[in-house]
Amino acid sequence: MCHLGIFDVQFMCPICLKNVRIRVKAADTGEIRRVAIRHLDHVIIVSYDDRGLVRSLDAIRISHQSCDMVDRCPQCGKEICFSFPNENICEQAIVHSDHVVIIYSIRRRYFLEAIELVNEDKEEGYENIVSRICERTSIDYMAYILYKALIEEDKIIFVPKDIVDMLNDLFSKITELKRIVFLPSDTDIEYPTTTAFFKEVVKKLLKLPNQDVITRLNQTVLMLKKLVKMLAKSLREGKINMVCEVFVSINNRDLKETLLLLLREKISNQLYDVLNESCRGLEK
Amino acid sequence: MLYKVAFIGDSGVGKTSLIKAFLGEDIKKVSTTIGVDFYHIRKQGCEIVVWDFAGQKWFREIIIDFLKGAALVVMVFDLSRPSTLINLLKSWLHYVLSISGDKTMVIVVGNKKDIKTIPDEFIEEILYQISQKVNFKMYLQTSALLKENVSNLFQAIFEVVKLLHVIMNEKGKEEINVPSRNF
Repeated sequence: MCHLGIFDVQFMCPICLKNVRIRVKAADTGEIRRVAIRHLDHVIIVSYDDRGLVRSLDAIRISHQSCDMVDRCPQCGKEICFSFPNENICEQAIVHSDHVVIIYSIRRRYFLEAIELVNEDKEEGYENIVSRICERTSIDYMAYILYKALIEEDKIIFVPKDIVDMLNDLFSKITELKRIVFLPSDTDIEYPTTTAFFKEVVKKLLKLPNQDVITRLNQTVLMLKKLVKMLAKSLREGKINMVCEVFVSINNRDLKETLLLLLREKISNQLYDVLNESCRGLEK
Repeated sequence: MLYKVAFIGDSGVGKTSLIKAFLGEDIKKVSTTIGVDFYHIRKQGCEIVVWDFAGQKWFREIIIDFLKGAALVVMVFDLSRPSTLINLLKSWLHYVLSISGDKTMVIVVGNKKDIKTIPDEFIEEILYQISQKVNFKMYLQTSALLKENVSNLFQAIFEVVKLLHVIMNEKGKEEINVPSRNF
């Protein structure tokens, strides 16, 4: 969300797995901006782009001041003391009033950098729509819904009554998918449990704030669609070996299965059989 | 023969911008890479497919398997963000070693030379450690924004690929270990 050059950025702390929201100044076009947030014994360095998208999160432990080395803060000039740890390469943080000094060291070489410190926005609670859906159904079921939505874009899917509104709300925000309408079903719904890839995706989404959930879901859908489109195009152009090499290189069996299932919808049965045979040959 | 060249490194370091700058495309329109992008490049009698990997952690576990089979890995960091250099050693190198192996040829690129803040001696120390673990070919500083050294980077990529081609023709498709060479 962005108001007059101010973004609300949400993410999960990689150390304490707590959801964090901060209000920050927008980065300039093409720029990656960084700010620091103080948590208990560590700081998080957040890098975000001009769209407010978090590009990377680095957690750095706060240093206990000791005096192996004395230098000055590059921002305020205050004296800082630190030691070289035993680790080969190390990042340590020292918190000053409105900025954090990061000490990057490799063996006994080091350099210092000051990064703006921002406060965490603690006004509102966080909610996670995927977690609410899973509480009423299961992770397996949510994974099945994701898979079905990807395969059956632009269609109607029948689901248990009590999650209809939540699913319609969630999927209206997954703009990378064509509109799907969820309608209530009176009968019990059976579903296969072969969507392990999506199960992993759902598990990773469970602790994220909603804004992050929507971003990650859109990105995952877009990534799968892009891969399948590229693979289907290569197959039609006769580059079967290249496609086989892609499949052979994937160690993640679930991702391989998911891509094959999605690809099957895009190419002829004949081409699919040729692909299967060629991949088996390459694996041998 | 078609060679696979992988661009890896943290999100926002400029991997896509470097490729687009070389292809003469507008880098102002570059946005975050979703998953992986492919670019088929034919130049100087060489044919390569550049695999541009997303730097975001969310995608890493999903797509990193695609590193397998890369003839050359280009590891990119941002000369104004030290953590992106440290992550080459702490995280990306681990992927290269576990998926492509220690014989993988590697070029390291420090991008955003125009806003460089990391001291050279710090970079050298990290490069030394990388060079101890993989078949390190060279280090280059570039600026995709100013198109500085971008063509030299791709020239180096084509040189490495040509060298690889010669060796493969001589040895067949057995294990490849290309000796280091200055460009």
